[in-house]
Amino acid sequence: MPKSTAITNQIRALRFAAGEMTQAELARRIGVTRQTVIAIEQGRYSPSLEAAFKIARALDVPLDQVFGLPQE
Amino acid sequence: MSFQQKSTSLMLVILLAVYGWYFTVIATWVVDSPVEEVAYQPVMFVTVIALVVLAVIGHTLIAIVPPYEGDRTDERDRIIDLKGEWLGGFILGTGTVVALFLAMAEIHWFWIANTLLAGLVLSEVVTSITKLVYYRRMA
Repeated sequence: MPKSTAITNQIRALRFAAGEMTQAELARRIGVTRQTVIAIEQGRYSPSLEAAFKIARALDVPLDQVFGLPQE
Repeated sequence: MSFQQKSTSLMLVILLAVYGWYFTVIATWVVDSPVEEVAYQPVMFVTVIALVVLAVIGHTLIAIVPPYEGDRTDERDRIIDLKGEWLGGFILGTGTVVALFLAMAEIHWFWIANTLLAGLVLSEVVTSITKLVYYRRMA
């Protein structure tokens, strides 16, 4: 079973809120592959800061609304 | 599965098949006759040609057979690539140092050449397996 990263995200919910944007469309907008969007969305891969900002921009929300780091 | 992931899997299968065959043949010959009489060079040459031909055919097939994923790479591919190459490079370096010691000890060139080849093949196999493990973890 692949291990999840510590960072949580709301990408799936935000995609649907942004006019049911597909993973492929989000991938195209931020310049990564669809596999990478899937990996980020499922918490299997933590994106670079640049990619994280691009995701937030594509979803038209602040960065901390997309990603979170739960208290230990 | 991305093109890079398919490519890595393909090269792992080809490497294991071609060099599994090569080292099996060479080992059989070494058991039967002294290393001075083992003509490994033509077989080694054939494996290089076979590797290139199979890689070209395989990559053509995964590029044209659906589903089409394109050959685009991104930051995740680069991170996975670096992790695989780091470990593979360590093994390649170790194999080279072992071959260097064999040369200094004036061991027969058969062993030096095959140690270098084994190091190269093993490093590529470990690189591919490491990449596939990370593709699985980050998928």
